[in-house]
Amino acid sequence: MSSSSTTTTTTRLLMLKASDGVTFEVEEAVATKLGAINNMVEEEGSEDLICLPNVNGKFLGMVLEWCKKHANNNTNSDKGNDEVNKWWDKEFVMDLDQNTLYHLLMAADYLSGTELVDLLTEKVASMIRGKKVEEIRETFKIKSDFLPGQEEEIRKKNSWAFE
Amino acid sequence: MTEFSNLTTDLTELILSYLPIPTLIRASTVCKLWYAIVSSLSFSSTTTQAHHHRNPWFFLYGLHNTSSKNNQSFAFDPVSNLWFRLPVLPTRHHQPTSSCFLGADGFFLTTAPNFAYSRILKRAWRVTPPLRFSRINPLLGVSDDGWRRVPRFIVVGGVRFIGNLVDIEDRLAVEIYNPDSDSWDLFPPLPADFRSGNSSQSLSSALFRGRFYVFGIYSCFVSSFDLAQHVWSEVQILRPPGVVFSFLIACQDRLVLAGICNAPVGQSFNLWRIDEKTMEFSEIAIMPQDLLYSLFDSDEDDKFASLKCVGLGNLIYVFNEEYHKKYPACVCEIGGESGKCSWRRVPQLPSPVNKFHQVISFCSTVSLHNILRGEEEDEDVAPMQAMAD
Repeated sequence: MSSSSTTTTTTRLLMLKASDGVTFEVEEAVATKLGAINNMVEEEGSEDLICLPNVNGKFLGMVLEWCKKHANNNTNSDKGNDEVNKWWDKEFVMDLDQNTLYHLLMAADYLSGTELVDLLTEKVASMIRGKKVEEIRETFKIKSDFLPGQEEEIRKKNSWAFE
Repeated sequence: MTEFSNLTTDLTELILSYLPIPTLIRASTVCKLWYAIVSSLSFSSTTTQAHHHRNPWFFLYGLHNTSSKNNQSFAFDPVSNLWFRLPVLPTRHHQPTSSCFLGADGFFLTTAPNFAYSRILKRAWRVTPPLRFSRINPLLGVSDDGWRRVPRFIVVGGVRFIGNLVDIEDRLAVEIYNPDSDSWDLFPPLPADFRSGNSSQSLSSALFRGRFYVFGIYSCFVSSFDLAQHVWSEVQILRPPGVVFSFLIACQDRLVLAGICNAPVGQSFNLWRIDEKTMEFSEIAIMPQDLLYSLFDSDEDDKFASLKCVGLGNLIYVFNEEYHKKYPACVCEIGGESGKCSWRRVPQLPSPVNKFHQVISFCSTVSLHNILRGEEEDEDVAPMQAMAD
């Protein structure tokens, strides 16, 4: 199914295997948008099956979907591509629930998909914006670990920002 | 189960880097890790610095001559597009009176009877040794070369202040504060051409690429003080056709002149890019007419006399110093590479807004590290209530 190991063409296919055994067959040009896979391809060269024990199939599929979209759009030389990508990115993150967003971000980070990490972290940031401290803690399930009085002290010194 | 608290520090830092400063101050109280990230020098100096330097805040400090409890302090963050009401500065030792109180990048300052400074968003005055020439309404530059605890303050022009008398004839030496020796160094005064008006009421100044530019708002004289050589350049005239009055502003990578201009169709507010070598100008933007007129509503010929303009980074703020419409303002953003200018109205100040005798206005970048980790407040500072009017 894959082309011979010595020739690298845009149609070369890679097999990616997720932690739960689900496999994906993707074009090399798409998969190498992920830094981690790009490194593996360069280092191992002939290896066509790549195992990814830290990502499960659901999220690997989503990451690859994003890569495919961006790889395709980038091959066209049309100027409007930036706009298309932006619009598509917006759609991509719009309805992500928090659980999916978290695991997708972990997957993108593990696979060194820098652009996707940027997109997802910006989405997380948008969930912090405009929220009160208590609401942020609740959203992200973070417990305050300040000593008694410490938090109040920071707050008191910069009370203008809390109004 | 979602465990965002399990994210690596790098990812958390990346997430926080997208947020505006006021949100980050709130975020710093979420947990110790977030506080450590937000208040770290590296977060302030690398992660978010470029963004914050492009988007300086606009400060407006209103002074009431007779009742200091009517003073108010406001700051506008262009990224969150919000005004914040700041606590007014304590005044026990340093009663800010209108003519010796001013603001410059990063600081509020008083120049007489003592020279004192307080970091913006902090409330602690620190006093330096007195100026050799105590003065009111000088021009002031802040030269922050890196991460010194205290920068160099550059004091130029102004009017001599002896006791309660002023001497308008005196050409005052340039004084530069040396934080290492905690003393003031004296240098040649403003060129004599500026004698007719050597105070901040008729001059504007801009610190740009190691030179302190002084520009006559009405006279159009311009000269610059070389901060390394300590000499003034030859005085030149910078007068685009039709200009009525204008301000010189140091933006990120260019000098900009901004002012009211008489055109065949009526008065307009223009921006010109200035070539600092030749003092040649080229127009880069004209404020939309409806925006300009929304800041002023009288039909008087001199209605624009209360227009003021300050800028830094990529932003130029234009506003009306008169109480009449509660100090309305707009801002122009100069796009980085393209130089494309876009204008927008700044939201109204948060009510209630008192009526002031004078407003001190300036642009400043804001450093999270300084806000959260900066020097502790002076002990001898009394709260505002201690002030008797």
